[in-house]
Amino acid sequence: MIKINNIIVLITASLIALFLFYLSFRGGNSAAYLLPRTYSVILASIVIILIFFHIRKKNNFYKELNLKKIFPTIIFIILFILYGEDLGFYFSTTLIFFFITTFYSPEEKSIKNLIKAGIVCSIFMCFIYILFSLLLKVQVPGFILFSLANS
Amino acid sequence: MEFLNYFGEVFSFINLITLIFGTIGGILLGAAPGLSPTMAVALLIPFTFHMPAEQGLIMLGAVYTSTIAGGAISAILLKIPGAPANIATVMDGYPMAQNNQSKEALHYCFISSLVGGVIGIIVLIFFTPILAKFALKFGPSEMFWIAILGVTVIATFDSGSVTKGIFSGAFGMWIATIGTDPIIGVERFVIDPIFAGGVNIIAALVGLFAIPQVFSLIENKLNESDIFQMEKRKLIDSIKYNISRVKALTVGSVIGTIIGLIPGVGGQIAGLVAYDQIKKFTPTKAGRFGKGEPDGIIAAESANNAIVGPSLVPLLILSVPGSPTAAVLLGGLLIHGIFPGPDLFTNHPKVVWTFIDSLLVGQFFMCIFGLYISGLAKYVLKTPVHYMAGIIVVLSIFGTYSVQNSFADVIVMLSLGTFMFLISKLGFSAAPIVLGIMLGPIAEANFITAKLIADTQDGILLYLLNGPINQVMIGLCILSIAYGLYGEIAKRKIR
Repeated sequence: MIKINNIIVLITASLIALFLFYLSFRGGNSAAYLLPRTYSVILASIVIILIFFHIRKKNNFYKELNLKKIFPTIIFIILFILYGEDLGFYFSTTLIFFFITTFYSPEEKSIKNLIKAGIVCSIFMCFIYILFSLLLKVQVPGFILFSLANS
Repeated sequence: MEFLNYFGEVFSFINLITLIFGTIGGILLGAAPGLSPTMAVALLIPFTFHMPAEQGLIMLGAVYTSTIAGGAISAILLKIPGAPANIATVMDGYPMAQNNQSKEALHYCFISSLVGGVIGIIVLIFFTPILAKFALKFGPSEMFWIAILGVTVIATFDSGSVTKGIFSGAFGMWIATIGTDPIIGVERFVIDPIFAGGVNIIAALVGLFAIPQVFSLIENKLNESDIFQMEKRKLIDSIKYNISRVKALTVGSVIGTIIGLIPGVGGQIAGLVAYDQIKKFTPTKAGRFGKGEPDGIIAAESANNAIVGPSLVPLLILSVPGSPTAAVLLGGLLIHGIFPGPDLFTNHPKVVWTFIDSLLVGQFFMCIFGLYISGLAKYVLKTPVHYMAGIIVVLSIFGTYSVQNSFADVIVMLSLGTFMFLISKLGFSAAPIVLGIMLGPIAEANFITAKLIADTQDGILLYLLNGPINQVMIGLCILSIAYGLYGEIAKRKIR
């Protein structure tokens, strides 16, 4: 569990503002970059206001982030971004769906519950296949699964 | 009375089926705890991309209306508001369910939603053309300020902090500048050729609203309490009683309509203000509120549905959404090539009037289906949240990809969504970012046009600051920021 306080908010906001400020003022043609520069100056100004509020100790922001719990899903999302297109959408999203429904299930991780999750997953993915590939005729990256139907 | 000319369009077979499916689906989505109307509309936008404009907008409008009403089901039966707009419904809805009056409470909820919703849509029908005539006086400088006002207002009202809200809005507007410059043709911040056309609105919408919801669902376990059984209650008795509560219906509908017209203020404010006012208007019942008083539900539900119509008035004419869900609906209009503005009713009369008429008819469907399927909705309430999270992820991926068959859009959607969840933990809000992304190009196009005109006159600064409409817009921007700051400072003093 990560405890988020105002310092973390300030650091993140400053990094975002600095990064966008750098990108905006690095560009060549000044006319095309006029508005991005204006927005980045606004962002930088707001960071200064946030710092001012913090120095005056009037901003007692506090929240919690359960990184341990969401971390596996973030990893799955990164893996999907890296390999999702190569593995095919049906295969990779089936894995994601099955992972989320089993890993985050409050029920005991027994064979019976895994089979139950597998059945739900199969039915839902069949629905997705009918909706997107058959009805909407969307050509998603297929890999081995459903590649014939998409071709 | 132009709206009457297009009533027949709503009853064409395909539009009627879309309206019915949208309404039923919206009620069930609304009943599912944790799925907000904003997220439901955002998730549906990719699907409507494949439909004709009228059909797509009918679907989005039906879902917008019915998710708010459907949200009352979980508010009454589980004490979990299905949508933020249903927060006030919990206060008397849940105690009524505890008193074995859950069916009666649900009846009041849908009947009151119908009354409030119809009044709101009538305001939309009659106010919008008047405002459109006024808005015809708007030039590039006025349209630039309108876009800025839209972002400012949402940033001020939809965030816990004004500074963070404006930061989010400016961030969204910066994101909107990615891609090719509209006049000079220079590529800005294009790290890959796929971004030459800018960030896809649908990918941004789905990512910013749906993916953070997934993380929230898996991070916080929702309470899985017992669902109350339905008692036997005649519908006609509920209708008679509900209609007799004229004061509660009037207070709710009027407050909802007024709040809906104010850009950026959501249904939760309308519901809470109406609840508070009905308590003050009926001092004899003061002790019964919070313990299962039907007037509390009637006022709150008529108010949160009354905002639907008026929240679209500034959206359709000025591109300034009246609520965060209306902001997402703006994305639905844009992907169908419908740009809100004063000439909207001249350029697309069929699409716009059919959409508005469908909202009116949809109110009746929402009430009829709501009354009959609210009993079935208890099964939706039992859907485990981890299944819900999985379903949202898969639908988001396929929905986003289907728009342009682009894997890059999926990457943008997932990256923006994960980023949004993390920064939402820091107190930043998604609605101003989305609005910044959508209104950014409108602001930029009008700014450039204004600059070209101003270069032949007294310069851009004077051009943007001169004229009564510009000055009113600037005044409203400053007022909304000042009001938000005042509220924020007052809140800190209380702490």
